[in-house]
Amino acid sequence: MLALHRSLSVGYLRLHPTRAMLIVLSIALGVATLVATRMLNGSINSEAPAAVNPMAKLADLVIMNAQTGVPRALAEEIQKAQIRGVSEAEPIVLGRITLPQLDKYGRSVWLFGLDWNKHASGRDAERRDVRSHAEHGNAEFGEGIEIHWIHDPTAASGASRIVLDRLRGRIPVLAGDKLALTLAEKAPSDSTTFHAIASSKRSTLSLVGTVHFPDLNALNDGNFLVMDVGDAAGLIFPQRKENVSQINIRIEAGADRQQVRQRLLDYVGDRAEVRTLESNYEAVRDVTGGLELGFDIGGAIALVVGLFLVYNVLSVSVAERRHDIGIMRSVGATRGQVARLFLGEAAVLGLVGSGLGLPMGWGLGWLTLRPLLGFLSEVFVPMGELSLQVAPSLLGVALLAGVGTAMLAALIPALQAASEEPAAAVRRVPHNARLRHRLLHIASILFLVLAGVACVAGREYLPRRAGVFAGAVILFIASLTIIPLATELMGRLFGPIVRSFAGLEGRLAADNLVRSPGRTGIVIAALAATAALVFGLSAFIHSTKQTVYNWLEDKVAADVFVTCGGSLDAASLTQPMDSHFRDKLKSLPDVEAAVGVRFHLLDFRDRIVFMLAFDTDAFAEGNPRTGRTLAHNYPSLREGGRALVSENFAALYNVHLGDSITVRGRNGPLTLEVIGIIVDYTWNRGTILVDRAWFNKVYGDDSVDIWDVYLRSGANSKAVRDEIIARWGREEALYASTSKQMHDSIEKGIDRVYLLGYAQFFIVGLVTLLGVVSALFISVLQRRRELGLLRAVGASRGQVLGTVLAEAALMGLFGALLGFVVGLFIEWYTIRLILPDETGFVFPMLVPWKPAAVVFGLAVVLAALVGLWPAYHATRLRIAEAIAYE
Amino acid sequence: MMELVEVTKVYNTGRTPVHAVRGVSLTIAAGEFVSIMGPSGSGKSTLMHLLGALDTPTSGRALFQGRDLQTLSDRERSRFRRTKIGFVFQFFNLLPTLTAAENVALPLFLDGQPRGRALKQAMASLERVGLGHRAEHHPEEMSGGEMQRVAVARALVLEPEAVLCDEPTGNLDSANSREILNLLRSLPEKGRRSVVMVTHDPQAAAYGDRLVHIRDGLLAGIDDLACNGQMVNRENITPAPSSAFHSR
Repeated sequence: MLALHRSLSVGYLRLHPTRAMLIVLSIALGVATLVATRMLNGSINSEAPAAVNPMAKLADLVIMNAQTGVPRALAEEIQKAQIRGVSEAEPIVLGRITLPQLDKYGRSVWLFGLDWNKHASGRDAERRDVRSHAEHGNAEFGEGIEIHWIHDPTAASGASRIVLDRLRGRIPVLAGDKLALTLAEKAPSDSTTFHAIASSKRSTLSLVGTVHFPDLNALNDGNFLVMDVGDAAGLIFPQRKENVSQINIRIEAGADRQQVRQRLLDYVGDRAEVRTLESNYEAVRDVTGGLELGFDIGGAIALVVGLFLVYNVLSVSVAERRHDIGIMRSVGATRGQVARLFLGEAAVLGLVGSGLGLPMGWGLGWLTLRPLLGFLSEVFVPMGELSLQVAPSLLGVALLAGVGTAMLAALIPALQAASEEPAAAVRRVPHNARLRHRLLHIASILFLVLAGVACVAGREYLPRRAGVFAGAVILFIASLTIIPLATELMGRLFGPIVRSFAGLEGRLAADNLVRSPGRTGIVIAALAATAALVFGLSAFIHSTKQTVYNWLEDKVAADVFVTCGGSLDAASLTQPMDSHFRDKLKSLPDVEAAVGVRFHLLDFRDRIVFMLAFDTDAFAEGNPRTGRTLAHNYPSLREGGRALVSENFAALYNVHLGDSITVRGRNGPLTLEVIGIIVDYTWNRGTILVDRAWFNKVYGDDSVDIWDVYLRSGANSKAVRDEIIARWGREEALYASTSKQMHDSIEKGIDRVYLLGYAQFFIVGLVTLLGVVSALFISVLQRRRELGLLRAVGASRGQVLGTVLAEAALMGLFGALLGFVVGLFIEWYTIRLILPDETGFVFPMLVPWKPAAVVFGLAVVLAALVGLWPAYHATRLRIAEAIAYE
Repeated sequence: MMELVEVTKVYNTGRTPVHAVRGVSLTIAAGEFVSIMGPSGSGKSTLMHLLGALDTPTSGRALFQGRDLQTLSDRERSRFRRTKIGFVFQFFNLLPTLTAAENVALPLFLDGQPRGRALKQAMASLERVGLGHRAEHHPEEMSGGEMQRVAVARALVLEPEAVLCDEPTGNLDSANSREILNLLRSLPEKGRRSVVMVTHDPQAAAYGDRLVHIRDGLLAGIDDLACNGQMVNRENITPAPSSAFHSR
């Protein structure tokens, strides 16, 4: 068989290098998209959780209570309780702090509170490398800490310097190396003190050294500070200094992590959650999962489009080599040998395509990495670095995907080739299996539709996201498979119209579409796929964006928004403000009310939800604007112990009006009565809205993340914003935005999310255009005799050119029309199936007519443009050759 | 060796069925050279396809060495064609991407023979038709006569028991035709290899031992061309009148 491949396949591919290249490119682009998305997903997977909680990586287990924090004393308690398997319990504080002297409005950096004494004492002075896990025999988490002291704290001079700092009210602090350099540049000579703002309070810090966590990639940018856990708690939890963010647990060598976790769970009870590193990360992945799913679907769709185009090229190759197949069969080739020949060819081309797709994917990933990093850093969590993860398994996946796709695409052409009757093929007798093929085609469509629907319907019984993912891909394939039939139908419907105004060229083009729906249908399918993706995505964005805008307009109606540490579009950098700032805001004559809002992350049924605490008493009774506030509509919210939940929260956790929900409080569970279910698009995992006064009482947290400032009628919001910035911007690291700015920043955020999606579809579009060129070329080759005959009976070159171009334009038009229909289906699928499943949000379906018109125009023009080359080729045919029999 | 018993073949390609062969019976002995002659569309090629298991009869039986070809599975038929039959077609039917040697070696490749051995055997076959020097040439680089000789070499490479030729000189000039016909004439081996040649050329037909006339799918007559081991004058053959014979 190998000898046969070597002789036949190599010879054929050598004779048609363009075709072979096209298959290889289609596969390579598909594989590249898949590889890039898998690599980016891998990076998000590994880096995002570490960036959210870098310190968790230093522990075997983490005791935490989301943003509420846990009592610091618990660490000591656990240590004293001598729980079997627990070697060490270290309290840790994580938070953000602003350094006002850096950048224009100050720089928001990480602040880590560690057990200072443990890390600073009893070790060699100049350079220490705390290989904690080496000591504890746990090689799995081998991270260390490298500290470079300016003055050795174990020596008398160093220690006395720290004592002196403290007497002067300065907090000793270590900085990441790059941050230390920047601080040194900004500070007056020899000065090691600088200011920091946390919870609206300004503190003086004294730089005593630099610190580096060599194994924590998330901190590679060095943009962080480390101080003693007690000092950090004072800055991050000013009203509950006894709290820390988490307790890092290290287990004894040889101890079973799950067993130790269970013992700790039994010990801490309702007070906190005990997480392994993986489960800690899982909660974060739950949030980034939607983005990953989108990437995966995009990658898979690129491969599906590639598959269709490869199928097209191979089908034509089979049709062209029908006579050769007949010869082979007449000299004794079995059906299996013929099928294996085509499958083998496809496998080799798939292999080459995969090999090419791997570096292309890496390049694509590398190009996308920076925008992705920017997006994640601003919207989700500040990330120092994001490196591409090239897992060995990815190579396997890429090869499998490329070879698998090529072979899958070759399956039907190979079976067609194998089913050739030798006598008919040798004598070039036309096929007589149209009805059989049509029935087979319809049966395949039905099968695919049923399989897709089954995946969606049974998604609850399948692994999470698997049903929706498989359903999306299978139904997408089904919709593409329908297209050849739809093309024929459309050709018959539109044919008479085209004939009436487009002359002979249009007539021939329309006839050709009806006559060869299989060949042209595949290209129309590919065009429709791209149009559908672009249109579906635009429709999805339009629907979600418009709905969120309406909600913001209607429900978040403040005139100015004030944040600290970062602007609204850099939500991850913001940090809480002191509640007394309201008095300052109200001192401005144009300010009517300032509503404090606190966003508090909570663990709820293994997911991270938002508790949104807001001032329900900000407006005086009788104020006309209260009619728009939730506090007015739900007056009993003020009584405490009651909550409103967002629609998506109710959908995700099956919560109904009047139900009671239990959330973890500061010192144990808290029960809340659900008094309303409202439209709220704050958080994709669900939002609980409560009274801020009640929140302060039960969580001991009076800080505010955003001030919603309402102005008196006639006041100029821009002027007020400028005044806020002028008065307190620099001093308190404040950012203020008008409602228009907020809308714009949200739009920017949404656009940035989808920019990545558009990048993927650009690749798919590229694959499609390649397909259109090849299909038109093949069309010209197949119609060689017909075009030659046209020329023989007197058609001009222009008429031949017109026919081919008209066919291309018609293909573009049909592709766009069908893409519109499939795009509506994609919009429905994402809005009605994926989104509710992922987020519980239910958006209305809106149709963006403007992008639809653009897609239509583009499809027709691009198809005609890429048709130019094959059309020109058609005009150069030598008539005598074209009409010759052999 | 080869026998057709009351075979019919109906093609259902259009709205009206086409009766290509209508109840023909014919026996071809081992070592015999049989010419089948008839006008275009008379069913002579179909008859040859049925003999060579390229096609199956609609009714009746096609036998080879007593075995009904219709009882063979598709795989067995492929193997049968590969090992027992050699085909020579009017349009040469060489694969354009293969060299002459590779074209000849095609049945051997299909038989799973290693490339080196297959090409060596193909070379021997090419030498036999006098084309050893053209082994590395592609079909497009050869004349019609040369291509047909390559096709004959391919047909002989596995030493088949029957060589079936469909208009082998239909595309050749008279000199090349004579060369090919002489080559074909040398192929029958008494008691072992038969040659069946379909043609509409009376001069080509005269190379056979017997001449079978086909008209409208019916057997129109058989002429015995070999008399006491000597060939008749091959220049004076005329088609037999259809009315003189009835299909069997």
